[in-house]
Amino acid sequence: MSTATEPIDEILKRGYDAGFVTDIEQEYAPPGLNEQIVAFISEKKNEPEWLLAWRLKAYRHWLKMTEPRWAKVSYPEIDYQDICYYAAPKSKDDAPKSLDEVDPELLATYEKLGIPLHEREILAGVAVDAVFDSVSVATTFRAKLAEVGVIFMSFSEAVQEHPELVKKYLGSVVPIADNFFSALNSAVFSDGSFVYIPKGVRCPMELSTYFRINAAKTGQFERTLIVAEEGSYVSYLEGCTAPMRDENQLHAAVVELVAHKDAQIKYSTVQNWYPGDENGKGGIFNFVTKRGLCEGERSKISWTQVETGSAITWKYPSCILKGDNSIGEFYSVALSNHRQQADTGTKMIHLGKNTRSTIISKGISAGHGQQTYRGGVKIMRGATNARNYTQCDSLLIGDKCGAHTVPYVDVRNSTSQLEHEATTSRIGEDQLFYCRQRGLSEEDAVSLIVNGFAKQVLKELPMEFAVEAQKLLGVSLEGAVG
Amino acid sequence: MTQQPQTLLDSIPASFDTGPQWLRSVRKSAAEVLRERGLPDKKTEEWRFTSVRPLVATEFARADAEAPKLVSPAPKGVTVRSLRQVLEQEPARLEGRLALGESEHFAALNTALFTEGLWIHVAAGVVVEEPLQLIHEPPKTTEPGVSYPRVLVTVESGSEATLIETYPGENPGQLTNSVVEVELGRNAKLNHVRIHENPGLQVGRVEARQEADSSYRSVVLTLGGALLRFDVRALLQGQGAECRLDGAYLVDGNDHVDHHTVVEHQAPRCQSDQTYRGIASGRGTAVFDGVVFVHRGAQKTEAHQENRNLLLSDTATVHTKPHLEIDTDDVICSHGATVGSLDESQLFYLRTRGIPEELARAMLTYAFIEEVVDRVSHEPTRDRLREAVLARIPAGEAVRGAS
Repeated sequence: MSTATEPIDEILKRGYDAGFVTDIEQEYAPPGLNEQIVAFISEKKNEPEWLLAWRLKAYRHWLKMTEPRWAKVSYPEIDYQDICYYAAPKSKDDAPKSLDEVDPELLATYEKLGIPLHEREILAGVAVDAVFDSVSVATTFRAKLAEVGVIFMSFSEAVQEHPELVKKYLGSVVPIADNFFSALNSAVFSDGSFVYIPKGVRCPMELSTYFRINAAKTGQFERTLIVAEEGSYVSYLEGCTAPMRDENQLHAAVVELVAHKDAQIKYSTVQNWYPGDENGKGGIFNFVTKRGLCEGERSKISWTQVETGSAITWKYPSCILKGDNSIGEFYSVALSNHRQQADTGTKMIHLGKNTRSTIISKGISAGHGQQTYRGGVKIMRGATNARNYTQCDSLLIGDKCGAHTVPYVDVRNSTSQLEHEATTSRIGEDQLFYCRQRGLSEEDAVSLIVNGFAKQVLKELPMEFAVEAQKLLGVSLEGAVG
Repeated sequence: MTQQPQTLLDSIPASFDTGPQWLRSVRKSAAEVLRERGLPDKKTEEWRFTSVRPLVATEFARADAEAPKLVSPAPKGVTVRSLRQVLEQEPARLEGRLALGESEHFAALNTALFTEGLWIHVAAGVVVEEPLQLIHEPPKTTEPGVSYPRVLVTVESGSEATLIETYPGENPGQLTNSVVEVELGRNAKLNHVRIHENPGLQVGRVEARQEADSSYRSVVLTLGGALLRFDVRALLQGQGAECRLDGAYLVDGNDHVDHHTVVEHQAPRCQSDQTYRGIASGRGTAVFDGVVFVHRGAQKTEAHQENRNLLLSDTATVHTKPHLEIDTDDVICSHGATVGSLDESQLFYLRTRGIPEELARAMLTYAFIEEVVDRVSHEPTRDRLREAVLARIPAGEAVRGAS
């Protein structure tokens, strides 16, 4: 097989296409973290007093917490005093009202990434709240959304315009002291998205945010809050890519979802942060807390994620099924190549009666990649007739990678039913042989098989994302068989 | 042994001055590990669901019974000797074989403190038909006592044997902390049945070290226990070795039982298979945690694991955590876990056949773990186990009458 591996090795070494740096002046907070920095951020954003108090409370909690080390990932010690906690594009003061006013260099950046905003506006019918580092610079389709009463804006704007909603829901799903990274986020979060869907409204379009980390040495601390009132529906898309960097960048986001009675939230992510080079140098540390609360009866929250980027991924989008008959879903494809390490999964907490959850997780490891599914399913005493189905499959490509499956199952109600199954195997030689025999190149064959392996999850993605996700999987893995 | 009752940690001596040098150093490192780590608490991942707090503060008297004895005389080719005797007379023969000095808490405690035990040795090329039966009688004292049974089983190349261990007892204040080490030579086979009848406090560990093409088959049956923790670990060190770890546990009342399995695939072409079944009723708690490690280079591994639980009351709790850690690619691995109640459609089927509901429930409940009981090949033991299980199932005696 030695000759066959040569082109494959080349592909495995393929550079990161989205790696480039946009040169725009940044307004930094000095590196380091203390109460002054927290106050600085709050002041910069012109926040009300209660929010500053909230941030400081989180900061003081964070000081008492220790970084979790239970995940199966290893990375160098993070010096939290060496990170800049605030960076905003200079042009913030004269904020653009439309795309024409947006810094052309920014637009060029999106151009290179293949997400031309103006085209997307027309073609895809997607409202893009593009986040360049920490401050939103362009929001589209605002008017159309406002017609039906949907609020979709950057978090800082929401703090100014809808403080009562922010105050009511901020921290209601992920409390301040939930974990080390969420406490850090609560103290220093810079910006993010806020979505509010009023009662009975079906959001007329898919809401989408593209994230980019751009300034070296600045962590990105996004805060997303989505509230769906009774009988409403929203589909939210989150996608991201970051330029090539040598230094590790910390990303600790918090996403909170609240679904009231009969409401549905569909949250999809394609994550392609810079994964580091083939020796594991550089790359994003992605420590994310995502949690949804199915507050009302018959509410539904569905997480779909395609995770192909980041050097370290630590992420467990979860659902708290509080309302009777509520539904939680988690569909995930995670891929780790080179030296990437991903410890990801979900937590389904069944509190209400007749609650149902489905977990489908597909892990792909190649190169020296390490991949862990870590999931928890809890069925509490009152969750009569609760139902969970979990399936996690892992695909291994190459003998130096690892795939690990760690499910936790706690059941305290005898009328509930729970099933978990998992398989791990390598890419089938007979399948590869069959495809090769039909004249497919090895790369195409692998891409085909991997896409087939992940299909169950990819089909859950909205169309706009499904295409990108398939392409991502293909690019990241083509010919990774040796 | 006449000593003042002491807490478990206090009973570790400051120094070890008797026995061969190698054993002293194994014991010394065990003691050091314990002094450093103490006993596990809720923060210890392997003990998340099982609190040993009742054990930490209790002052136990040292209550070792005599060395366990085989029920019948050792058959030809099998030598059974007291560990104490071998350690006195030919200590070199045991060097490197009594290990676990640096392993987890309770096995280390046993390693530091055991005074007596058994060495069962099956000579090369011997096939022992009759099972070797070992009963670990607990001491008859009433105050809290602790004993440290220790057994080493060596099955030389090409041999075959069956070992049936029973841990009886009625006194819930007694703590048994046992360690059984199993060494399997090339192509050796051991069927190991272990029955936990003791309703009291038990911590036990079995470690099987397997050479090429050897086979270790373990069936564990736990009939309740106020606090029971059992760990079995199979190390597949030689090519083509295989192991089967099966078990069934029943909890009722305030029982708390916790079973952990570890299979280490260290060599290529090994196979492992695990089936654990549990029935939880009353206010009982059942914990299962199974890991399969496939080490780098252990190509062509096949590993399967299954844990199913029946939850019969709303006050009982089941925790299950089957996990896989795989560091190579040419493997076929799977695991599955379920928790649920009796299948209503099966129940309905039986009811349409005129079987009263109570009996139908009992039949289905027994059938749930029968597969594991049937893995015991020694017939008299299997019958005894069947009786013991039926006696613990609601309306179980009706099943006995019906079949």
